[in-house]
Amino acid sequence: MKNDSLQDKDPAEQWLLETFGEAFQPEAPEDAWLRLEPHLPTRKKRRMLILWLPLSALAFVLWGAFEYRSRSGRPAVNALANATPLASIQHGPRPGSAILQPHNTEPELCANIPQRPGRAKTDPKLTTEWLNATASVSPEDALPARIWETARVPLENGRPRWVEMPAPSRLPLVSKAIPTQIPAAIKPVQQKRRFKVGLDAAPLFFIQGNTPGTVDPLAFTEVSSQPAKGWQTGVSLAFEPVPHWRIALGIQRMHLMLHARHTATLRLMDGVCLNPSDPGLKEYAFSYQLLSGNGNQSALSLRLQQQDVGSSMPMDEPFRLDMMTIHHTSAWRVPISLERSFSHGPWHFSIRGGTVIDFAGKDKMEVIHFSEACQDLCFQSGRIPSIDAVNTSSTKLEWLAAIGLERQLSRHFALRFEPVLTGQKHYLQGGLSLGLLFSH
Amino acid sequence: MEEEHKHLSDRELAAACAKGDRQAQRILFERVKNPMFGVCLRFCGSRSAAEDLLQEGFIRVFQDIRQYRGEGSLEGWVRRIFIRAGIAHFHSLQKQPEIVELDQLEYLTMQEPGELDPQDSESALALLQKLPPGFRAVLNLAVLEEKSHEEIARALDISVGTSRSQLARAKAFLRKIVQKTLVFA
Repeated sequence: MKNDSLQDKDPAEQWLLETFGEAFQPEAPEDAWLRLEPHLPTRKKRRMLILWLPLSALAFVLWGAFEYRSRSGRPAVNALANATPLASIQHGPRPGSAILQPHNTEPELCANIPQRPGRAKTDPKLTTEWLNATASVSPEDALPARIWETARVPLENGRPRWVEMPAPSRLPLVSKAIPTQIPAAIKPVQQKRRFKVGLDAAPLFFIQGNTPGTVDPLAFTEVSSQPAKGWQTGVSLAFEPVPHWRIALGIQRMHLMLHARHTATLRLMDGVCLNPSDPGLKEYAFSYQLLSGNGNQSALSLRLQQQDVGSSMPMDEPFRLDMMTIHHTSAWRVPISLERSFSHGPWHFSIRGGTVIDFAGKDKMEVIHFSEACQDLCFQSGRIPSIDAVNTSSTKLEWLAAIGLERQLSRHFALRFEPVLTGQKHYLQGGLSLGLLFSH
Repeated sequence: MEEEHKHLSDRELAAACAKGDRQAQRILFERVKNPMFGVCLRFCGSRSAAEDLLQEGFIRVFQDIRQYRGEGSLEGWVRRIFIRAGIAHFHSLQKQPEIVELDQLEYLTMQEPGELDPQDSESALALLQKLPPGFRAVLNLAVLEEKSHEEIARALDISVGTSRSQLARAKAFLRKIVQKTLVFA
């Protein structure tokens, strides 16, 4: 036991300590580690930072901050530090009524509220007007223009006019910043939102007209078998200098896919023989211009190889190449427009006109069918030649027309549906745009 | 990497083991495997049981190694883990009732000294392992680990009186064997 020296222990204990004490270190089995290792906890791998978690948290914080600021900006709560209240509202003498009082009025007059409507018409301090009971007024909404306009017009004696009106469902909260006895104050009629930022996306349909002919022997036009289809997304910024009129500027990215076909009539002399000294199959390179119905131009280069060695074909004998192609076009567009809107409650109807600057974009051509017909069948049939297509279009200016329908979803956000037409002399492009607008 | 771990302190080695560093775990294993196997052999009734207990003990060590706070040596901390594992092994044996045949003990005491040499480690181990689990556990804890009867009673879930009587009987038994060989004067 503890604190006993070895000499004090009995023989049994001594024997145990000497035999099985610290010196007792028998060899562990050789395979002990091999048996143990699979059961050991492994190194914990660091979890990949899940970026979307902190990003979501950041987005949530930003959204919360934005919402807080938005709420704090609502009228009649606590935005009065920077805005001079123009009017006050308090309970009226009759149930369900409220008195709207423009400021610059002595506070003590608040107590002199007439008991009966009508009587106040003779009161030089105020007049009352019982307005349409169906008019709805709430602290969050702007006052109906009728009420406000009535209240703003002073009396003939120069004193401000008090207006009795249907009380809102709840009166604005009292703001401690108001150094008067008036229980509440409201901001003036909300200012018109002057700026709007929008995000929109639209499926596009191309309706192509006839491409004008060309006198260039090495330029050919392609015909589309169906309207080009695509997608367009963009952002826009609109400014409203005067009510109901907006100037908008946007930037859009357009992707179009066009199925087309064209026939090129060529001669051997139009191309370049790439292996004139080769006794085997000759290979020729041709280049020509391709005009598309959407006004795009492409420079095509293709290589063709003879089918049979020895078969000759006059250099000036024409042969035809038929090709079916798919154009994948991407381009940047900048629409500039003027818009007139008409409002009815939360709905806004707009007419827009302007111009679109269409920058030449990338055009990738995919040949899905190829065949050639020539008298001596001197070219290999069915083999798709190698083709390089380079968009040689220049920046275009198109006209734009649109009508839009907007629904105000909340104080800041609105949804817009807008059929859009753009085009030039020889083609028309239509789209159905759906957009989300943010206004401030 | 093995060279790096060799210069680590006990605390650093434990931290590396806690992170799952296999090299560090191997270093610690190699350092203490033999002494701990000795502990296992003392607690168990057979070599195979001791090998199982060795594995179980090290699994516990590496699972709980985060709890090592640097107080005392790492080997001493590992030893305590193995003692607890040995006690748990004892409790598991208790669930399997073992009939202690007194004549087995008597048989051992009747052996000729030449047949059972307590100074031979193999024989000594065989002798220890032939003891009933209760005797073996009390001897291990009381004599070799120098625990008090109160601690032994708590650990083995027996009364203090049982602990004392078990120890007395175990020592008496061993004394007979040891004195028979006239090892000690």
